[in-house]
Amino acid sequence: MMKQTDLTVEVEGLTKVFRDFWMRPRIVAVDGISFKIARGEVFGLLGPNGSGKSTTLKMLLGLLYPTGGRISILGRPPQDGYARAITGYMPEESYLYKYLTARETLMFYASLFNTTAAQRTERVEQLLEMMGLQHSADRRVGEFSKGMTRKVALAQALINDPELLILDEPTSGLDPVACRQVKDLVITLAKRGKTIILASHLLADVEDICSKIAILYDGRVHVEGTVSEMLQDHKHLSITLDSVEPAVLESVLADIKRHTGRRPEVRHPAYTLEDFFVDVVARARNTEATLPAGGQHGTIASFLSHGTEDRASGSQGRRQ
Amino acid sequence: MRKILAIAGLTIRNSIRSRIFTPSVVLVLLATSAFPLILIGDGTIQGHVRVMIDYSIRVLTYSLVASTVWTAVRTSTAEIEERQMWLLITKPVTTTDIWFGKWLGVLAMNACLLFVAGTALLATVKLRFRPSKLTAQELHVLSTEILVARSTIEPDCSELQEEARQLTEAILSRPGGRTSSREATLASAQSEIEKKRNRVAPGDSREWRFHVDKTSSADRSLFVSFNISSPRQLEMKPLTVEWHAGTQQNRLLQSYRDDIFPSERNSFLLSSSISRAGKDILVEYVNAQTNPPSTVLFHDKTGVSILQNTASFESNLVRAMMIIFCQLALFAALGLTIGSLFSMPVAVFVSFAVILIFMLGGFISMTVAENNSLSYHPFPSIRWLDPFVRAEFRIFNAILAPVRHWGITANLPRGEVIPWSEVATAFAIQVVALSGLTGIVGAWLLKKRELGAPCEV
Repeated sequence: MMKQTDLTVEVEGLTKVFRDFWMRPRIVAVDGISFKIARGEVFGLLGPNGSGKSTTLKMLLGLLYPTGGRISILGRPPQDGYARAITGYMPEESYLYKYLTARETLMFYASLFNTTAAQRTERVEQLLEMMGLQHSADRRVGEFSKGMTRKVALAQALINDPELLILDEPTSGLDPVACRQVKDLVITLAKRGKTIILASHLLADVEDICSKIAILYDGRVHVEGTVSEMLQDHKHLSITLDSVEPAVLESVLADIKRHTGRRPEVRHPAYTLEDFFVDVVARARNTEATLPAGGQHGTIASFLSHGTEDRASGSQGRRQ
Repeated sequence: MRKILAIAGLTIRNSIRSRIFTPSVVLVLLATSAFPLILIGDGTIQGHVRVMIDYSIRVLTYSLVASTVWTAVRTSTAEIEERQMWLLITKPVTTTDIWFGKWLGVLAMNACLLFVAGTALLATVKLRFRPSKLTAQELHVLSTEILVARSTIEPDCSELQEEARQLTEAILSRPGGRTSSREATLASAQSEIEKKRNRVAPGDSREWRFHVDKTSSADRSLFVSFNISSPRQLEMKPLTVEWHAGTQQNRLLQSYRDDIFPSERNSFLLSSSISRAGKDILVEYVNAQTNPPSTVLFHDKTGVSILQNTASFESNLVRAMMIIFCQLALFAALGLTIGSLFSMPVAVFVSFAVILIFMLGGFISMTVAENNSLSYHPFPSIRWLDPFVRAEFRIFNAILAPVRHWGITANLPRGEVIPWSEVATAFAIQVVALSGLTGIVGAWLLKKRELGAPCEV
């Protein structure tokens, strides 16, 4: 049982009905959904188009007013100043001011929080470095590629070191290396006790980083639970070993067959294509120090100001 | 406050970089530098300068009103429709911060544009009418009549008030005379006497007394300014006027006779002997238009006054720009609030309607004042609209009443001072009260609006 104080987000009976000009109900976008998200959880909202994911996120952000139900962010309504001060939001499209440079954009958003000028400057420089944007910091966002724009959008979401981070399709438009960086960042933040809500169509992303998911369809939650519980296949067992001599393997297989009556299937575990791609890029750059993911990991740790995180432990994308 | 200033800074940056600012600067420079060069006056140097300044101020004002409303509407609607507002509103800022930040941003741009406009207009006037190109007489006329700021001294009306008081007592003492309050009877009597006195038949005369501060008038020129109507103006023919001016001791120190066009405000310079003479100045008008004879009518409020040089043209120009600034502040507020309420196309339509109503302000005011009616319209089918049109005009007239401070900028080309009290009033009414109120409404509308709603719903 989750203690009330552990809860970051609490949603009860949330409903949203869009009405037409004459105030007649037209679309029931969200239909009485409820869920609770604890501190440090990465919560994934899954569902096909029109299932109510974005509407739910918008209500969590105060961009839409619920027709019914209740939302609480650390005990406050989403429109409350404190709730907004501890929330970071990265929308599906970046929605940035294209006439501002990356640095100006981040300085602007930083100035909306109660921080000193020195803190703002430091935070902005850290985020620019963390996102690998320090060399493009004085270029206008309108001149950026989609991937770079997404990085600026993510940086602005992190500008206040938020307790609750809401990400709508965070890896959309990013190359695989950047995708990995974002996923690693999410995991690192969760380990630091930050709560993350993530809506995505990319199931692999959700599987990689979410500790808990809810699957929405037609405005209702159809399944909710932890990813490990949902995806565990209790009918089968896999044992992972370092490579062994063929004779040793045959002996082990023979023993298993003798006990179970069935010969087990043997195969080499495969990397995900994303892992493989990241490795290829890393090798091409020839050195770990110049690899963006490696370099940025150090900066992330510095930004988060609490020691270092083992990047490998954050990567859950390797499959058997 | 930091949040408001950050949003104001963002508005300025976006406007400058999105090329709204550059066309506005070009427009302002055209209005104040290029446009005046193609204007010609009535053949006199003062007429030329007056027309030039008057038209420049009008063109500048209308173009800035249009650009301000457009900028304000766009800065609001574009951010909502392009969804930058999503990121802004999810930060710890209130809709009041957002509204006032944007408003301050637009105001800062207007201040820059007005600074450019004022400098350009001053430079154009000074260059176009530089001393080396003018005769001594022209230079004197310009420096004493147009490129100055003259304050108004109203005539002493104690005699009129006394007469009105006596008439009021007489009316009230009559049997059945107390049909309305003393104040209303007094106001009515005063108005009647004033109207009677303001009508001067051919060969008749009328006299006014002015109390002038001797110390302040000793080294300054004094002008008699008058505003009269005559049937001659319908015939587009000049009217012969004759004035005598003097003091209590010598009533005929100066005589002035001229042919003028009655539809305009006219003035003449009082001789220095009168300016220096004493506290009381007596001015007499003689209706010299006897061939053909024509009665003249002095306007109620602005019939006759003495103008006294009190400030420089530059100072008056600054005040005119400040009055325009106050006006633009209100338009920026209206534009932002319209943008907070409507989507882009609707907001543009509504704001152009606002500008149109503003531009028709003079016509609306005149129609209401003259109580014009559609009851006598040649097409009977539209006569029934009369009560609705009258009501509509009255509503628009009431709405436009607070922005009438606009008209005071017309003092600039006439060389009349725009009092600081008028600037302060314009600021208090238009910037603080009306814009503040509009801002509160705009912020509330923005708060109530579901910014995340899908456009098609």
